[in-house]
Amino acid sequence: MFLGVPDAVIQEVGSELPFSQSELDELSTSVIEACTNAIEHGNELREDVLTRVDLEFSSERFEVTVWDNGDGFDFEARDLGVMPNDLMQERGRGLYMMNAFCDEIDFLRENGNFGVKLTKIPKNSDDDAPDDDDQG
Amino acid sequence: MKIKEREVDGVTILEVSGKIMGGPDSELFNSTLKSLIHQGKSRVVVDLAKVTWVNSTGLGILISGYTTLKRNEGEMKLLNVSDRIESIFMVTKLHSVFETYKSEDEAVQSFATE
Repeated sequence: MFLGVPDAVIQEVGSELPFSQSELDELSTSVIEACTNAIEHGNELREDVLTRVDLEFSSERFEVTVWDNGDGFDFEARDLGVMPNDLMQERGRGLYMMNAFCDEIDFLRENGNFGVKLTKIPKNSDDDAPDDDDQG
Repeated sequence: MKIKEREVDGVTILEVSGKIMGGPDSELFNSTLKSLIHQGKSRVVVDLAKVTWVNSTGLGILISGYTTLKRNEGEMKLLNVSDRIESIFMVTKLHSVFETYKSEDEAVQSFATE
């Protein structure tokens, strides 16, 4: 699975936008989760079915939509803010992580495809920026 | 994912590099730990310095390794956790499970004091 590709693209594009490194990492981690779900569950690991990743960005928001060919799931019945009951459970954290790391998460159905749209909004924090006073 | 193995004062250091994301990674990590347990080496430090990222499936691999070693009277501790991975541990509350260290000496010595 080429999950390093969306990560690399988001990091590269995001470096030109007013996002902190931690914000980019959170979006990227979420997109990797969405891609994993799309490939494993939506497209059932079929190599002949496309998983599509759309990026839309500006200085105000970074939106990434991951599309698969599956039916999706009943997202209205899921509480995305709830973690698995068992902390040591080995799976089942993907949606929770996406919801926790992104400012908005939307589920879309279009032309027989299922999409997860993840949105990150920059906080304009200077936390990760180098401090002029520390530059000797 | 790749794993390099070495030993310091009776503690096995597993230097993991790349991405921890499931599939073959799970088999590689599990078989490495099983081999160590078979050799009676159940005190393990996993060095994550060269790990780019971990996804939720990768978290499952770490949890499985932690549990496997615990069941065999061993322990798995983590070394050099990046900010990116640390934030995943925080949001999933796994920071309360994994013991993490920033220096190899401290990680190795922590076994001696138990």
